[in-house]
Amino acid sequence: MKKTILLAVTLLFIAFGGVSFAYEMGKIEVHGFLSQSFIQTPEDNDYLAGDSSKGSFSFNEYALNLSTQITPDLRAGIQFFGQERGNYGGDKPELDLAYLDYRLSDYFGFRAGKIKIPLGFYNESRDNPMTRISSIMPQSVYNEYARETVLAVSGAGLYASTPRTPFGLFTFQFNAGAIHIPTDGGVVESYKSFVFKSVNKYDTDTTIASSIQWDTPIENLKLGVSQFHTAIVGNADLSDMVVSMMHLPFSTVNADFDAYDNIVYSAEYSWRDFIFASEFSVTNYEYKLIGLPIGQKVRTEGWYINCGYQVNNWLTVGSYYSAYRFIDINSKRNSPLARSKESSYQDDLALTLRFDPVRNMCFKLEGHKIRGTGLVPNALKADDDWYMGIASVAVSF
Amino acid sequence: MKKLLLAIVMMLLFVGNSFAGYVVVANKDFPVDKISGDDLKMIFLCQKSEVGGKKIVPFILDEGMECHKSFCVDIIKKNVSQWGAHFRNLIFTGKGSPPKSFGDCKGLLEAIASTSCAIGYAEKADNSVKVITVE
Repeated sequence: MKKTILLAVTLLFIAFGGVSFAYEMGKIEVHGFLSQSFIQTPEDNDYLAGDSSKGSFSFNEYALNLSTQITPDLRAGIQFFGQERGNYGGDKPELDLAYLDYRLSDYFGFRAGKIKIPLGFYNESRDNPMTRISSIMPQSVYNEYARETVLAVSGAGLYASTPRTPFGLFTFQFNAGAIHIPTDGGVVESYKSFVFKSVNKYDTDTTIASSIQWDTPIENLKLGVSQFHTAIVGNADLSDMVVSMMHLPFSTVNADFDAYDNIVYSAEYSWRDFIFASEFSVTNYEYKLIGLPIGQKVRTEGWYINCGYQVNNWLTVGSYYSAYRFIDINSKRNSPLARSKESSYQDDLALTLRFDPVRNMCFKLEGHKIRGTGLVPNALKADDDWYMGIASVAVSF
Repeated sequence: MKKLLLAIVMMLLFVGNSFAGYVVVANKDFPVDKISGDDLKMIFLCQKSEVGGKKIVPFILDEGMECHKSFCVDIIKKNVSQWGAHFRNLIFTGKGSPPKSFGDCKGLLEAIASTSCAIGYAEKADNSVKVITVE
């Protein structure tokens, strides 16, 4: 906690004292951001932050980024990131990004190290609230609890682009490597209420992620499609409900996610002070509990439409409508894995006011009207609309 | 009267885009004297690093300057906030870093004049740099 306060004070001092976009230590550029939010949800639903039903400040993130241009073609960088989410995170700084980037030409290059996954238009920048209007991303596509699965690969990647022609410009990325899913993070938190009580270990196969982006001939209109594939084997403790319902003599099992596939279709258009974005995400996965006749084949669909307008230098307004569907393809009605109707979907209408009183700092006030609890672990209030309020401050340098 | 009109037209052509609030300037060794708007946009979005086979160095002005805002809208086709968000994305995804920025045109012109293949924009040019025509 003391380290967090010290870091926060340091970053605030730098942010207010800074004039330029970066600080430089010799040839090393230093950047960072810090964000603190307050989240309030109804008394029956803790969502995104631990104890949010009582009003929670346990929602923050920070990052420190160091980078340098070693030669005109070779760039290196490292980034540390930490977050607090109440039930996980703990503001523990972790290696978020570490890369060597060699750019052969304006049209081709490759990277190695821990590199971000280009899933949708905004996955790579999802952690920095200064890059967007809203406090939280549309959860139907950018589920906060699944962040660790799709965040970055430790491996290599290549990128390429075409010259700009009358047909526009195409940019292509391909990454392959290993992902790291912590056993005490958001993924585990999201599964606690359904099947597993805790996860002891994850092993993942090679993860592949790729994206194609088309900067169309229409000014500021870009379209894209991206994909993500991995396979996971986890060792976990089943929830007491599942053990009891299935009359199992044991509670620890291996869960095999044979193939986890996600595709996202994206569009973004900006015109003057307006910006519009829409994305559609489909995820398919199937898992089996090894040695047990328990498994689940799942398809999730999520989409959103987002609109933002910069009113003036210090005020921007934004709104999005986000919809999520959890489609259980093969569980029987009375299976312990089957979800209730209300926990199979989540529709979210959000409205944000973003204030930029000074450069490199912003405040946000955001309200959500939500129906369904498809993305809420441990949801108790499942029917009727429910509401969430978020207030946040962020600085960046 | 015709001579006066001709003189006005020649003056407007000579100053290039300066009537729009900025003029594109470069080091005198910059490989070209004319550049397309698309190429200029890609340079300042850090998507293009070479012109005429040479590595180029872009410089920009601070966000609050009127000259910067005009350049943003005319060439980058974004507003100042959107351009700033683009640079933040580059930094925190490890894909690059924004060009060095200057708080005044004098400092920017001095940097361009002393940096090989540098390019930027300012309220007006001086004799230490050359004007680049945007096609």
